[in-house]
Amino acid sequence: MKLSRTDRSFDIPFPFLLAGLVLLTLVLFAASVVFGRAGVLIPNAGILIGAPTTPEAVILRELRLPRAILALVVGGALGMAGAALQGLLRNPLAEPGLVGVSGTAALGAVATFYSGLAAVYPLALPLGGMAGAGLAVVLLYLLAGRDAPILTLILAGVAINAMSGALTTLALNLSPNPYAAFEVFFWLLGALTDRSMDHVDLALPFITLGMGLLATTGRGLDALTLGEDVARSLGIGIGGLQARVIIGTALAVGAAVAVSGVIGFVGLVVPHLLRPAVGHAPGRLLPASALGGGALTLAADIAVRFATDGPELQLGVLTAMIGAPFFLALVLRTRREGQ
Amino acid sequence: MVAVVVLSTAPTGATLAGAPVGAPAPIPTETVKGKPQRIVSMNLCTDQLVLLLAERDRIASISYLAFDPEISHHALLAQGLHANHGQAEEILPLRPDLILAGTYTTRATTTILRRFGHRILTLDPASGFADIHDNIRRVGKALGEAPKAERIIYDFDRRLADVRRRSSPGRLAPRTIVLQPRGMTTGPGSLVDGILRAAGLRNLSADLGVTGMGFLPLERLIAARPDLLVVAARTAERPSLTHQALHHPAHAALGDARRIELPASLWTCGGPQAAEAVARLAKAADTRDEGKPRP
Repeated sequence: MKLSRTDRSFDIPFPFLLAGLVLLTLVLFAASVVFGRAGVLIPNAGILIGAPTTPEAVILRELRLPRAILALVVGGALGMAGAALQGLLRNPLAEPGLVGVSGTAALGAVATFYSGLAAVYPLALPLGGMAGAGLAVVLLYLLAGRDAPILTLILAGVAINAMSGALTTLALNLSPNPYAAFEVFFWLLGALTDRSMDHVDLALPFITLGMGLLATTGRGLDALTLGEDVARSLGIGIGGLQARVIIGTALAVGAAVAVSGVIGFVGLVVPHLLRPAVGHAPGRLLPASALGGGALTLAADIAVRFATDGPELQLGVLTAMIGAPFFLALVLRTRREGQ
Repeated sequence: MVAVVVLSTAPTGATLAGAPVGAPAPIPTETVKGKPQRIVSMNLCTDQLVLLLAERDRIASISYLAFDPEISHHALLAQGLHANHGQAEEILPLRPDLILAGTYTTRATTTILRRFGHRILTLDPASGFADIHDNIRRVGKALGEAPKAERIIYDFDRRLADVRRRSSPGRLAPRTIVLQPRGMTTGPGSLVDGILRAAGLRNLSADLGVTGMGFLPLERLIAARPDLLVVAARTAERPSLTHQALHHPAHAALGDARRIELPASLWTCGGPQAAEAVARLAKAADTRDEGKPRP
């Protein structure tokens, strides 16, 4: 990690950076389809069209492809939302998982899933996730918006996280299904194991919509780095900018968490690694973080398949093991700079 | 299998280590004459045997799981009885003269109750048909219902022999995988394996290196091309990710595998209801399409 040098910018032309990230993401996406517990499987054109007839085709189409797509878009949503929140709150530690947005999204999804609502009306699952995420972002903005000290943001996040985690656990404990209590692992430490195309169908439209909305905030976030007054004088509507970041984050993160559980730290690590490479411009950081988030999540999701022999590691465990030390280092650096 | 998982996380009496004040007087084993009249069972599988063997008015309490028809074969018999959650505080005031518990579940509670001098019978989960015989016999003896227990064992064996006699001679043993929740499957050395073999099925998990309870990634399950998939029947109104995973679209996509949904209540606990599971599986094996070449 190049923490000590993150204040400087790297001399990478932005198009080259994006092209490199696209390439990396494509390679990891392909690897995610090729490598798995059933060994190396190379897809061919015959496998990808028509009804799957062989076990290999079923594994590729029904297990690995949805998994790779979800890793890409869930990671992309988390990376981009992290970059957008950091830009809006002008706070380097804002991250969907840390500030409780993901946790509240999980609570919303849990409420719709275990009540049986999602079984009757499948769209209830992502809608529940998005409602939870939306609630948390609004709450967060009220508690720690507009240049609040970093500590306020983190404390607000701790409170929102504690509440949503407790309520999620409570809902699972109260479920009449005896397995539900075990599933708190999935919701608090996400996974993409054995997800299906159904989950892609549920989440992808909302994630795309949310990320599309976040993509429109680039110019506004760039202007916001100069302060709200300057941004306003540059013709940026602050209210509209806030609304787009909040709604975009709610849609993208809410729908993502509803099918993957909480995968933490992606939105923290990725923007921080990429910020120097985009010259600290929040606008450019958005697409770069989306690609980087997809790449990091794809890589982590490949790693969890082979980390153990038994049941797969939770994806959120791995991202936390990468992200938590990173977070600590950032806290130390922030403290040093504050002195 | 379900019962073991569930009960091992059920609240136990661990926090009751300091003896409650005013606890009922201990009832030494030696003074219990004749049949126990205040029977308490704290485990789903001992519940089943108690409900089967003892008269209703002698049952003081059974575990709350016994009332759930999805996992409890005798849920109808359970209706109206007192339910416990395996906590010492609930059990002590009942002044039981016999307590039945699982060896691996509610252990802290069992320890406390034993310290109070209660007579406790712990039962291992059945890992085969021999264990079913033993468990029925042990509980029958403890309840003072040994002749009834022998009758139940006799009927159970006769039913299994019937299934064997009726099954089509010379049919190929379908290559079968049992899908347990959380990606688990059951290989040799388990009750479910015994049920499969009694039904004339070949347990493919054994070929994949699983013994007892083992993890089988979904990808490897699909790659193994089973003829039959046995899964616990689910109820949609109590959703869980675990049950959703048992119905992953990848199973349906592989059209040539037949799927049998078996109520969990028939194979969760080792009891005479296992014969019903055997009969249903054997029937499914007999009616499946023949003549497919086996790799």
